[in-house]
Amino acid sequence: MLATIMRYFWFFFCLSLLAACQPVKPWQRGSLASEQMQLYQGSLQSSLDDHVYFSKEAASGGYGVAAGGCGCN
Amino acid sequence: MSKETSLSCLTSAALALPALAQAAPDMLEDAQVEYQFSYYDEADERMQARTHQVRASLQPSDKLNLNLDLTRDTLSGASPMFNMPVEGQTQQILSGASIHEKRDVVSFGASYKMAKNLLKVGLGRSVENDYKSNFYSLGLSRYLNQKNTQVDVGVGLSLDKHGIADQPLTDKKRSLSYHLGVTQLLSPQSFIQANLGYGQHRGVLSDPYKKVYIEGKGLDVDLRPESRYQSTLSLLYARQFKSNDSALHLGYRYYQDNWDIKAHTLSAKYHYPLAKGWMLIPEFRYYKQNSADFYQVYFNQDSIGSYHSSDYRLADFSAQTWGLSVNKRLSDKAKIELGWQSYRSRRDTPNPLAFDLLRLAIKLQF
Amino acid sequence: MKTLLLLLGLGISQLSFALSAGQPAPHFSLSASPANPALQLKDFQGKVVYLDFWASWCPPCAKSFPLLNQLRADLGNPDFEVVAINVDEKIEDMQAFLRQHPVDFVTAWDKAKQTPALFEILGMPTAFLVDKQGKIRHIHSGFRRQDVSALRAKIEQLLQE
Repeated sequence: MLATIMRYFWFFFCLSLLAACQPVKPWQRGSLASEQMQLYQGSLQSSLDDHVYFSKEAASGGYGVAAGGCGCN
Repeated sequence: MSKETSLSCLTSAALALPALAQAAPDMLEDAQVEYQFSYYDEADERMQARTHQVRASLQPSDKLNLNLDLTRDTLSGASPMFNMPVEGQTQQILSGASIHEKRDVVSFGASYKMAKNLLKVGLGRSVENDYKSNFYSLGLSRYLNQKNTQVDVGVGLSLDKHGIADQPLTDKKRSLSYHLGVTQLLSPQSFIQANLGYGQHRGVLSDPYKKVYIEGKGLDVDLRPESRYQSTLSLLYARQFKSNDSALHLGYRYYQDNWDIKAHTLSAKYHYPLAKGWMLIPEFRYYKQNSADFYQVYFNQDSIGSYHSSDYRLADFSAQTWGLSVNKRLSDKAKIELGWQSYRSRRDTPNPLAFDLLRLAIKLQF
Repeated sequence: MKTLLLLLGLGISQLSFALSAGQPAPHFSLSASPANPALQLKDFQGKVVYLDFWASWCPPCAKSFPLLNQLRADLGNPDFEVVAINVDEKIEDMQAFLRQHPVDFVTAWDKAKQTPALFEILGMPTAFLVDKQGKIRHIHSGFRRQDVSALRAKIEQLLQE
């Protein structure tokens, strides 16, 4: 199963390398720097959401290194 | 868009990801403080929780970012303990005595920026009267292709002790997690991110507060394997629309572990900027998992195995979250956000979990 | 793990070839826009020029503008000029930024984005300190409050040449 996941991962990675043929220049990053394009990973909201879902669902993690555990009810 | 100029000062704090989006070679030399209060309320008068979170970030130099997070959770209510058949119907039995609990978390993080790398370290401690956790993390981000690609690698370690409240905490749990991520800019308006995660948990993973009901025998303890291996694959896509500057974020996560649980998570978030510094953010999330191989609603003498649990979190279920947030920039230095989420699950056991989450957040920059 | 190392190694081979100090500043000419008249580097021949590339969405740029304006006023030398080329997609974004951070120096909008490519800039803001002979003498990337005094010393030195 891990092999399958790896295969998917490399597929998307190679896809992204293809996209890199037309690199985005430093002066073209106005949209990417805008508030609405920021990923919310690492924000207070995401740590709250992650904590709530972690304590109510079996699946967890997947977007970075997990933080500490808890004895959640 | 231009009105967000100073707002981006608030949002492009050094830890915001992906760093690719920040064309600026320099970090801000500012300090920033964030506060968030949230109120979590489960249906059927189960659990309620109030959470206060504070984060202070400081950039003592152009390369270094430090941040301190403090969290206090207070919980009260009742939690499901087990299920049993009553006159042909399954009934969920809640913990009799009302739970009152407090959780304090303090964590510290530092990141150091180099020409093509960002090094991150973190450590923290979480304390409850029945659970203590110390956690450490190390991460490295590397920029490639003139900052069109970002590769992240990370490792985390968590050392936990747990047990029954106000008694010596004798049960131990040790978790290791690894992360590999790639973010790729697709165009000046879009990027994609792929993440692989692997988690390894060893020790006492059973829940001392949960019980199982065995027909013809009565109650027994919750007993789970001593190890759990979790694998995840996630994909994120973000795109901004030129017509109105709004942005759409789409996410998918696949999860599986050696308890035979597989889960799918789909998420969508739309950021819609309005006039005068207002922003509207509707969101939707769909989650589905199947049950652990040792889970049953309740057991009988034949079906009970060496491992057994009736924890509703290990059951087969699906859930939907709808949410709406609105935020407003008050000045160059201040932003306020109000959010609401509603979670509804569907499963074949009684009283499927449903909750609402209200959130108020303030961000100040100095 | 091997592939990971390979991946990280990939970055090392991708060295950038930006302009460097000592080279003559490339000539450019910007056509007129609703925000500014036509502009060329030649217009400032014989002057020391702080040629800045900036965008409304770049936080250090916002920080640099009042400081640069103050520096220019403090020097009060007609042989020194700040020329700030904006690379925003929309001219309205630049105009709103200038209303919020008003300055007395020269600003111009590069609609075609040819100048940042010509100067091979790698991040925002990037500034080129050009001497009276039109030679690049210093490249400044990013902007922090502490940078001003060193920058001022460099400009004064070039003015004395």
